[in-house]
Amino acid sequence: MVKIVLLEILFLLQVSSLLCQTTLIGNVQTDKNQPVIGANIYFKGTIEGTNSDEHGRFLLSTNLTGDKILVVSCIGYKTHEEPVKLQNNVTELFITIFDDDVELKEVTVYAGTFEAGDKNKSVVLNRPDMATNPIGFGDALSVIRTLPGTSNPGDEGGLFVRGGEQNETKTFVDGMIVGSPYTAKMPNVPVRGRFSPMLFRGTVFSTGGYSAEYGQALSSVLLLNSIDMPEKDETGFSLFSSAISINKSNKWEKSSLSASLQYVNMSPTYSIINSNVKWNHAPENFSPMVAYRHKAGKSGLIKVTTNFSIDNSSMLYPNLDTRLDDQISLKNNDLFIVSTYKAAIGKDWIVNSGVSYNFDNEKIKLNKDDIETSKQSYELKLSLIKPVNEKLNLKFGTNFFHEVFSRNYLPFEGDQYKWKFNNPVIAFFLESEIKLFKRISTRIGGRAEVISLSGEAYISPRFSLAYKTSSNSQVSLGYGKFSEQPLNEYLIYNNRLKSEQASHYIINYQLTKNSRIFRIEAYYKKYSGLVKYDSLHAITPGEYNNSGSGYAKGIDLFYRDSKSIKNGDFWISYSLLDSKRNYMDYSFTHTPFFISKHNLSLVYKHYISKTDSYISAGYEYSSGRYYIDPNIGLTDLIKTKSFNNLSLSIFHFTKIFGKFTMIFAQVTNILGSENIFGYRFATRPDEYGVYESEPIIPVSRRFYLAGFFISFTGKPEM
Amino acid sequence: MKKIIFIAFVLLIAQKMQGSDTLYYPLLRKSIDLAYKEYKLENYRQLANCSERILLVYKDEWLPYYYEAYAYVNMSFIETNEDNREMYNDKAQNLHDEAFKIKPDESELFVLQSLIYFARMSVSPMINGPLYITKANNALSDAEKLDPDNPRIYYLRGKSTINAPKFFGGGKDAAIPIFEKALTMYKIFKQKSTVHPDWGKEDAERLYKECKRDSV
Repeated sequence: MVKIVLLEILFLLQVSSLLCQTTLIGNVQTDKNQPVIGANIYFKGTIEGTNSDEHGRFLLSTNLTGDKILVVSCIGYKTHEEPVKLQNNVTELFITIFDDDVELKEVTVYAGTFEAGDKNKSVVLNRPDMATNPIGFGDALSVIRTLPGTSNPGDEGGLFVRGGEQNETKTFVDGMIVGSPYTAKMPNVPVRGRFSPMLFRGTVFSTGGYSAEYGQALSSVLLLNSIDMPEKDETGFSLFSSAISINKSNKWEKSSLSASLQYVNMSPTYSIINSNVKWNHAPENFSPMVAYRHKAGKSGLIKVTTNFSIDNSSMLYPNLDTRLDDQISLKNNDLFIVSTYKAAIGKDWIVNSGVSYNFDNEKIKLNKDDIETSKQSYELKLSLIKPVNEKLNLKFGTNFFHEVFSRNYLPFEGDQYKWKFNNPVIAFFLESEIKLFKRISTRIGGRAEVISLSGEAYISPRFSLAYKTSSNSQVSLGYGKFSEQPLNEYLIYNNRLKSEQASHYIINYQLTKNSRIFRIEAYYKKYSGLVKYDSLHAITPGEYNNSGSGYAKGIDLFYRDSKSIKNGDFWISYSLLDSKRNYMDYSFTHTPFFISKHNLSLVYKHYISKTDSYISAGYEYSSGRYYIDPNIGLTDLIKTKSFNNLSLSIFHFTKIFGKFTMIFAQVTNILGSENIFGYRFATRPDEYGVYESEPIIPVSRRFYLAGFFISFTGKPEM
Repeated sequence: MKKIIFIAFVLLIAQKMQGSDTLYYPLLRKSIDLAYKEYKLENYRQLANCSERILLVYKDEWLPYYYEAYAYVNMSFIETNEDNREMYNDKAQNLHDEAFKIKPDESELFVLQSLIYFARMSVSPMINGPLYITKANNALSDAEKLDPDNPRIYYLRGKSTINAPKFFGGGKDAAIPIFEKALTMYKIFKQKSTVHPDWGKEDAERLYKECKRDSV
């Protein structure tokens, strides 16, 4: 009896299963008739489903009945939904699915920008690249100069972008402008960046067509984004042939504090290697840095970074007129404090605000005369980001920048001169990112600036468009108008001078595939309203006007490959640049003296696992620069030899007393090239009617650097 | 008699319940076992698909998210095409983040996070290695804080130690004590349910033997 009941129940179960079963047999393929392997096929709202096999086929039996929706999904493809009627039979289905544009939704890289750091695929350089950069270890910005679009006038330093001068590139830390991004200038000694990109989480380097959020830069912006919170506590010590530094950072639950102290003194180095400069007091620098981070509320973050630096140097500089050496001494103090607050407000508003303060004092003693220049500035900035919907993202804000500039000329004898002016600038910006079609994304915006000094108010439009030609490649276009106030050197004589203007037109193609990046970019840049004068330091305002103009056009190429050579990684940058200007005291339109037509840089890094070492080599080439020799003719352009530099660095990782240690050594100019940047001439001819001249050459023909870094808290973060 | 009817009733209920999607454990377990059978793409793909079907119904459970992420990260290790590997890693990361929202204090999710970092590192070691190694190790330390008895922490730590250069304290010799700890933990490890993570033991044993063999 019992058995019968049981059997009956079991039988009923089986029959009911058999009776109410629908079988779907089908095939999933792409729109290009390729089978889709491993697609997920299931009934919507249930866990009943199956997978397609290696031919894209599937078989799905179910007890469900009635109208259902069959979902076909596979990573990399758009999810397909197919309505099906389940009525206890066998149904055949042919399903076609389409490529998903997941990759197309990613951050779009617009024309003119290079990203460095560790954020996403668009990154061209990462932090270890910066740490193991073989070229110009003394200068933190040298790694940026391995990117295309930059040229390297070795006597100037800093960043010269696409035919633009050094001042046409502005540096921003966490969105706030840096008043004095470079160390103070001594004749023929290249300036160095005050901020090392190494210290930052991410760097965006725009060689043109940059966002409306930034202004006062005719050519380019370098955006340095500081680390939010260190990943762990760290204590380190380093000693190089010319520098000593310690750094320490502590992390707590809600906040962190990092500090570093660096002292540089070049005299030991110059006592060993020959310097082409007669140093009275070899460059000396002392710079403490403190960074504080605090998490405020749920999503808020307060960042405060303070950087102070003192520079000191003195040299004997040949005066070609008096044929005696001038004694030039420099004392520079610079303080930069930047504080930002970032938070999400409500559901989807993001607020970014910041305050910064910059003080820079430069005392130059030229023989017995004193020249003291002071810059004091502060900036307030507020920006809001509102993602309206999937297709539209709005960003707008305002910033107020106020600078007080003063210069005192105090000669040992003779008249004293004092200049001073206040320079407030108010700006508003609005920018929208619009996804027009699934492959096309645009960035449209504008920036309005009001400059009270010159009584100007203008709007600079900015426009970018990116078109994804495939998941790995894209074409982008950029256009924008950019303005920048004339240099303080001119404004002190004539502070009614109007802003200089530039228009950028850019077209770019980028292909990223399997650890290889290729990009090519062509651009045209038109300058107008450049400052012109007959002779610098004429103190009558009327001597200066805005009648200068010029252009720059060229092609930039970049290729990076970390795949083709095992344990090897290299990148090549090439820039072709054609530029002419008539500005400053030029008597006719010609190529500016700082420009090289061809610029090439090649970086190769190789990891030797046996000895735990990196070898990196860098080669830089620039074709000759123009100069005018008054002995030949004031309208004849003469070209210098090309510039060549092959540098080699070795980084060896080891343990000393159980602590992580990196030992490194670097040699520049291995080939021993006699590089000449140009010539300088006496202001008047000597008794034989000849203008005395001297070549402008590097501070040292060859440079050696060696040192080590110890971390007391394990492997430091790269 | 009553007992038998009761059993029959239970059987009936059980079958009906499976049909109406209330208990996903046996289904998921079956899929996990299939994935473990052989380390190949299609086995992990079916685990990913199965987990996805489950998580679409059981939205508040972290395990289906966990397994889909785990399946994708393994697919990334098996796959050779770099673009696909990146895509799988991104997918795994997204799924991990979803699981993390549901259960932020789960040691296994930190282990999974470090596994994703290791997968990213292996895509292009020259570039990604230095970027993710600290993050991967930090994730393992966080996992250890939440559950020091989780054997997978020591298994992954041992595995990464083998490949790490000697100056970072790597190498096979250095990995031996870590694997010993892993194996001890595997011995006392008690799975919370049939579908809670239980992977890594065989591989830990294999690697331990390999290290032992080469250190002599």
